[in-house]
Amino acid sequence: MEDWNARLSEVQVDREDLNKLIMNYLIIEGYKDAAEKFSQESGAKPPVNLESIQDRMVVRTAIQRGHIEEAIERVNDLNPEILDTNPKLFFHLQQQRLIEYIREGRIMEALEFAQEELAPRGEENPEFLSELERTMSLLAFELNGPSPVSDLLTPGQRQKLASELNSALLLSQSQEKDPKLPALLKMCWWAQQQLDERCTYPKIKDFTKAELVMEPMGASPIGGSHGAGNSSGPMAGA
Amino acid sequence: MTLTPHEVAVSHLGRDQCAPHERIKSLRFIKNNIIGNKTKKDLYIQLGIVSRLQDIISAKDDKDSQLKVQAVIVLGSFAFGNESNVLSLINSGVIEPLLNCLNPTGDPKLIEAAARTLNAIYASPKVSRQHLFVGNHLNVLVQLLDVYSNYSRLRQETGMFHTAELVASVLARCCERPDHQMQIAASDAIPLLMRLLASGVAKSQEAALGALAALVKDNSELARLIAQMRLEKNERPASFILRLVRDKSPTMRLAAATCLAYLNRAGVIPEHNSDIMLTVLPILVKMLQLSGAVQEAAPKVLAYLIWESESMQKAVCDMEAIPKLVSIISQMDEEDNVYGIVGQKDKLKENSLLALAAISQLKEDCRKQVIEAKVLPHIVAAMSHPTVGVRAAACQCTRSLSRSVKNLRTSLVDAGIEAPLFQLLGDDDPGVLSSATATLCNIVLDVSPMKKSIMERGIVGKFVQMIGFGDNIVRLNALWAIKNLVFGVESEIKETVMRQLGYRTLAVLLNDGELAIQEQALNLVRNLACSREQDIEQVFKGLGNGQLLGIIEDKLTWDDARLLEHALYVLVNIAAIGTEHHKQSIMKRPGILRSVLGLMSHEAPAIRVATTWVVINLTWPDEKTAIGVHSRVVQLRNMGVEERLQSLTADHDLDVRDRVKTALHHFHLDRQQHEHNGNGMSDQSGAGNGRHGQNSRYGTHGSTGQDAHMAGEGYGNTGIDTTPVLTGSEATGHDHRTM
Repeated sequence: MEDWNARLSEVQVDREDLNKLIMNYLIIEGYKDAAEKFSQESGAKPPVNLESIQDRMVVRTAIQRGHIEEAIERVNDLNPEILDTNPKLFFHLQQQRLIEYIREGRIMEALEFAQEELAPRGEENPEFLSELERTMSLLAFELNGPSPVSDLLTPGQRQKLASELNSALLLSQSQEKDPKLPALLKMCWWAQQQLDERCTYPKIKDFTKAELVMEPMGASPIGGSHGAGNSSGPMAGA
Repeated sequence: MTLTPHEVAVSHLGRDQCAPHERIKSLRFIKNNIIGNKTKKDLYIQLGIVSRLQDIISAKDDKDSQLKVQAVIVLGSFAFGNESNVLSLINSGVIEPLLNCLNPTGDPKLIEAAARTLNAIYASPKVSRQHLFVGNHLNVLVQLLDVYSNYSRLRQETGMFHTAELVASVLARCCERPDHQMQIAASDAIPLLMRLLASGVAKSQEAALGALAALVKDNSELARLIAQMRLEKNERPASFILRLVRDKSPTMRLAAATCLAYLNRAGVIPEHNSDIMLTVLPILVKMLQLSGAVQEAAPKVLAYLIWESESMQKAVCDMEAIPKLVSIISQMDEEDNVYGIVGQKDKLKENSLLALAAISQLKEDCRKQVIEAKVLPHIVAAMSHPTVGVRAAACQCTRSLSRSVKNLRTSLVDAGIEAPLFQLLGDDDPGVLSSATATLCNIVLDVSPMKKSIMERGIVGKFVQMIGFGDNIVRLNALWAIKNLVFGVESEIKETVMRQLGYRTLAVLLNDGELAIQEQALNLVRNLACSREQDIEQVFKGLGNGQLLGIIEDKLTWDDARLLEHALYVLVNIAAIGTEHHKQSIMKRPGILRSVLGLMSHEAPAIRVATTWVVINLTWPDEKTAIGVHSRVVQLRNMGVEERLQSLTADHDLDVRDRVKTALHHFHLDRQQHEHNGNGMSDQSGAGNGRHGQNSRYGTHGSTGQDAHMAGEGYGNTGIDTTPVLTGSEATGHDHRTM
C-alpha cells in the first residue's frame, strides 16, 4: 500500500495539461463565456478562435428553437461545403423542417415541401426513404396523442440533430467532436471497477470531490450514479 | 406570366438590374437553395445562371468583394453536383477568373472561397488541369500554403489554415501527370506541405498527406526526395506519418496509409518494411469494415500497396481480408436487387474487386480462398456492369484467378466467365479491353477447357482485329494471346490461325515500332516453327523465300536479351526437327553463324545456353544424315566454335556448363569417327552401340531439354509487365503457377 502511495506521488501531472483538458471540454461543449473567463484566470490559451464557438452555439440554438432554415443559412455562411458534402446531415435538416411544418399544423406547406425537397433526396439515397415514410406518417396521427412516431416531435429529436450538426461543424474546423474529459473519466471509472474485484486501494468514490479514500475490498460497488458516463453537454440557449 | 422566385433571383444578377446589395441578397437566396439540393442546381443551370456568375467574378473592380465571394460560393456549390454541372462551369470558362481571385492581396474570404470552388471543380477527372500550370497561377497558389508567413499572421488564423487545406487538396488533384508533379515540386510546394503536415491541425494535415501522396505516386524521383527530408527533431517524414496512421480519426489514418503505400511502392522506405506489414496492412484491412469514403478508398489503397508483393498478399489473406471484401460485394448486389438502383456505390464495388484481384495476383492459396468464398458469380455479374470501372476491375479479378491452372480447368468454367469475357472484347474502354485480353491470354492455353469453345466463337478473328486497331497494350495482349493459343497445338490449328492473321501481317509485326510487339511476334514464330517438320516448313513457306532466316539474322544483331533469346530458339527448333535442307540453309548464312558465335559469350547465361543449344542441335549425330552432320561440325569447328565451347567449360552457370559438355561431346564423336576410323561407315556398327548408349544418354537429356526450353520459354513471360500470365510453362509450375 505504501508502495502504491509512493508511486502515486511520483506521477507528475502537469497543471498546463489539466488546463488544456478543461479548455478542450469548454470549447467543444460550447461554453464560450466560461472558456473566455477560464482563459483569463488560468492563462490557458484557447486553441481556436473563440468566435467559432459563438457561431456553433447560434446554430445550435436555432435548431433547438425549431428555426431550421436559419440554422441552414448560418451553416452555409460558415462553410458552404458542409451541407453539399454531407447528404445525410442535409436530409436530416430538411426532415426537421418537415416536422416543424407538421407541428405547426401547416399541412399544405408540409406536403409541398416533402414533395419538392425531400422526395428527390429519397430518390438519390434509398436509405433515406424509410425515414421519410416515418416522418410522413406523422400526418396520420393526432399530434399530441400517442403514436409510434411521436418521438419525432420530442425535444430529443431536435437535440439529436443539433448534436449531429455541431459535430460536423467541429470536424470542419479540425476539432474533435467529443471532448476528452468525459472519456478520461469513463476510463478511470472502468479501471476502478476492474481494480475493485482484485484489491484494496485508495480510490475516488465521489467524482465531484475527487478525494482518494480507502474502502475495504468487496464493498458493494457504487451504482452508475457518478455521472462519469453521462457526458452530454449542457445546452446553450435552453 | 409570373416568374418563379428562382427566375427572379437570376434576373437580379444582371449588372445593371439591381444595386449591389440586392444582387448579394439574390445570390444568398440562390446559395441557400442549391446547397445540398441537386435538383435545384440543375434548375439554376438551366436558367443560364453560370454566365452571369462568370461576369460577376471576372469584373475588374474589387471594391465590393462580397458580391464576388457569394458568386464564387454559388459556383462551388454547382461543382458539387453532377459531372455535367462541372462541365457547364468549364465551358463557360470559369477557371481562369477563379484562379485570378486567388490574388494574395485580395479579400481572404474571396481567396478561401475561390480555393474551395477550384477544389470542387478539380474533383472531376475530366477537367483539364492546364490552366493552373500556365503563367504565375501555380506560384500564387503555392504561397497560400504558407500559413506561417508574416503576411498570413495578419489574417484570421482558422481561415488561413482552411485555405491552406483547400490549396493542398487542389494540388493533390493536379498531380496526375508526371510533368505536373515535377512542376508542383519545382514551385517549392514540398517544404510548405511538410510544415502543414507537422502543423497539428487535423484537416490541414490530412490535406498535406493527400498532396504528398499525389506527388510521390508512381514518381520515384519525388518519392526519394520526400523520404529523405527531415522534419522537426531531425525526424524522417515516413516515421512521422507512421504515427498518423494510428490516429483516432479514420480519414487521417486513410490519408497516412495512402501516403505510406505510395512511398513503399516507390521502394524508398525499405527501413519501414515491417511497419508496413505489421501496422499499415492491418489498419487498411480494418477499414474495410467502416463506412463511407474511408471504406470506399481503403481497398484501392490496399490493392496498390500489395501489388506484386507475394509476402504482403499472403499477409492480407491471413488477416481475413477476403471474407470482408466478399461480404462488401455480395451485400451490395443484394441491395441493388432490393432498390433496383444501380450506381450508388459503384466505386466501393470497383475498389473491392481491385483488392481481390491484387490479393489473388500471385499466390495460389489466396486464389483458393477467393474461389471458396463463393464470390465468382458476383465477379462474373460485375463483368457486365454498366459502369466501366467495375467491369475493368471484375476483369482484373478473372485475370488474377486465371493464372491458376486449376481454376482454368474448373471454377472459371463453372462460373461461366467465357461469354461475358468474350462480350467485353467489344468494350469501348481501353482499360477493360486490356484486362479482358490479358485474361484471354490464359483462357486460350491448352490446359483450359474453354479454349475450344472460345475459338469457335471466333476469338482469333477478334484478336487479329485488335492487333490491327487497338492501342499498344491491347495489341500486345492480343498478339500475346495468339502466341499462347498456338503453343503446342496441332498443325491444323496453327494453319487456321495463320490464315486469319496472315504471314504478311506477321512479317510487319516482326518489325513493329514497339519492341514488346516485336518480341511477341518473334515468340509467335518460335511457337509456330515447333514440334513438327511440317510446321517448320509452313513457316519457311509462309514468310516467303529466305525471309525467315533473314529476319532471324537481323534480330540476332539487336541488343535486347529477350529478342535474342527468341531468335536463338527459332534456330534451336529448326536445327532440332527441321529437314536437312532447313539445317543447311542455316549453315549458308554466315551472318547468323557469326552472331551465334559472338553470343556464346553474352553476359546473360540464358543466351549462352540458347547458343549452345543451337550448336548441339546442328551437330546432333544422326546416322541417316551423317555426311551433313560431319560437314556442319567441320564448318563450325573452322569458325572457332569448338574453341569457344572449350572456354565455356569453366562457366559459372551450371546450365551452361552442362550444355557445353554435350556440345563438346558431339565434336569429340565426330573427331573419333573421322580421324581414328578412316572408314567410318564400316566401323559404325561396332562403335555404334557405345555411341548409341551415349547418344541416348545425351539424347534424352537433350530432347527433354529442348522440350522444356520450348515449353518453358515458348510463352516467354519475362518482364513486360505482369500481363499475360500463366505464361510460364504449365508443366514446370514456376512459383505462382501451381497446378
